[in-house]
Amino acid sequence: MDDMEAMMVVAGEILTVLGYDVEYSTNGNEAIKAYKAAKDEGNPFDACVFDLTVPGGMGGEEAANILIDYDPNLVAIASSGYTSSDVMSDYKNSAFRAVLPKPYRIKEMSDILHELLNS
Amino acid sequence: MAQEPTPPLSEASLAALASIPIQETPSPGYVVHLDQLEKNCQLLQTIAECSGAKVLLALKGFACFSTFPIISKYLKGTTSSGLHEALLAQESFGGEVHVYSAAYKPEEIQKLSRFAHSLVFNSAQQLNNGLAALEGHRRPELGLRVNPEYSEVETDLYDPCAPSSRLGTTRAALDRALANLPADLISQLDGLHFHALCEQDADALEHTAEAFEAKFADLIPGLKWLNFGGGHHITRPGYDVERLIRVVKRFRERYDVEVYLEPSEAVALHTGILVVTVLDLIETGGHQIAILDSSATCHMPDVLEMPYRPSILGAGQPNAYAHTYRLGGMSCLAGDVIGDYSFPQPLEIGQRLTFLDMAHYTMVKNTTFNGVPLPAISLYSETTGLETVRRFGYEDYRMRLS
Repeated sequence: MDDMEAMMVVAGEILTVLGYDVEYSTNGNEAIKAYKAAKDEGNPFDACVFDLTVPGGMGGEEAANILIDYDPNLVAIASSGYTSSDVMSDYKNSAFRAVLPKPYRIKEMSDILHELLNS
Repeated sequence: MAQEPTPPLSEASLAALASIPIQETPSPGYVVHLDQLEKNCQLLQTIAECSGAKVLLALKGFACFSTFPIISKYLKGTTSSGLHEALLAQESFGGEVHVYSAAYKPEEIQKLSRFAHSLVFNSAQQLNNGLAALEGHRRPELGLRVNPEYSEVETDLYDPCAPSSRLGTTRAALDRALANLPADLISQLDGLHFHALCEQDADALEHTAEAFEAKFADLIPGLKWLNFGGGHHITRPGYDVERLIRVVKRFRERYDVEVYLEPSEAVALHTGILVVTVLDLIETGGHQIAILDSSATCHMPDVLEMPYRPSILGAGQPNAYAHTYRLGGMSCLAGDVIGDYSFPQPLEIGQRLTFLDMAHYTMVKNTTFNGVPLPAISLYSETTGLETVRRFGYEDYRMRLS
């Protein structure tokens, strides 16, 4: 999930190269809807990457907080261009399992997903 | 015919620019929103990561060097249009310094040779002269700008491939020139450069790259790099980043070369505003006129050159709101008119207005015609607030004259 569409698409390109199927959303509400729909259809997301800041819309932190109540097994990764944000510096006290600073790096994204999905 | 302002801002970008405290800035004054700038740079670096392209900031469109510490975190370096831009790049940006000029003087080449990563020449003759000038000096990588004779740019002023364009060498001109130049000249090249885009999407790049390939593919084997120039509107909402990545990857893989992209506008797109003040309100010829402490010709020359109508925060097309005004500059140029705009409330003398998307191709092109004061330059971010980094005065006008 990223409010900047181009960033979202490029992140999707990286995930595709890494072998993942990708769905996109541009704000928290869309992400929650997509997550619940996928789970209801029996094809749940393995992991979600949430952009923390969405001006004028629901950001990743709020969306992850809602989804962790819905699904305690949520694998949420916080993403932001601002490494100084509270979540990015202390994600362990949040709904997130990891953080992924922007700009996205292929190796970093690969390592984090591999670690989370294989642990 | 005036085109629509380049391209509509996303809601998020509009909200960010609207959050700048315009009453606290000098007027006239440019304000660059650093958070917006950083977002653009992060996208560009992610595209570089995904495609393998090397992305450079073209100083021709944005050279606000107080922002370079942010941009240089993400981009590989800069591209300049001559010695002075290159010196600024070397002094303030770091990274790779690439230079293209329609023509170099020998002494410029010798100065550039000390620090430039590459020099791109506009013709085979210039390349030959450049090699002579470089004898006994450090040799940067050398490139040749070619003209693919294909362009989708609609404005002649900004079309590098318009008929009889002086920018870049056509294949026919190259072959003619090589007949009279040293036989090994082409083997001296490290790269080829083309630049035939202006504010365009990746489909235009793909078509242009195909035209380039059709004419120059035989020269590519053995080269280190291809430079796809600037004009890629990568950060505009809706830009086809997947296609851009595909095109870059295709060339990198087919020819085993590095690919450079040199965006300028895309780095600073939707990252800045110009704050102005209404100085007078007059009525003439049935029009309500507002005179501003700014000027199209001095502070936003592309409004007249392109031409285009810049957006104003909270204003609409003529008659969209109840109060329509023609906004004019404070210079004596009769045509110093920015355009017609409507507002929900009548304008008042002393009121401030915010022109949107005024970071790129403004401060690099502005003038002191009529002695109109140059706009101050400020930086803004949500975390550090507003900081005015440059104010201009009488001395700045005087120092350009003698």
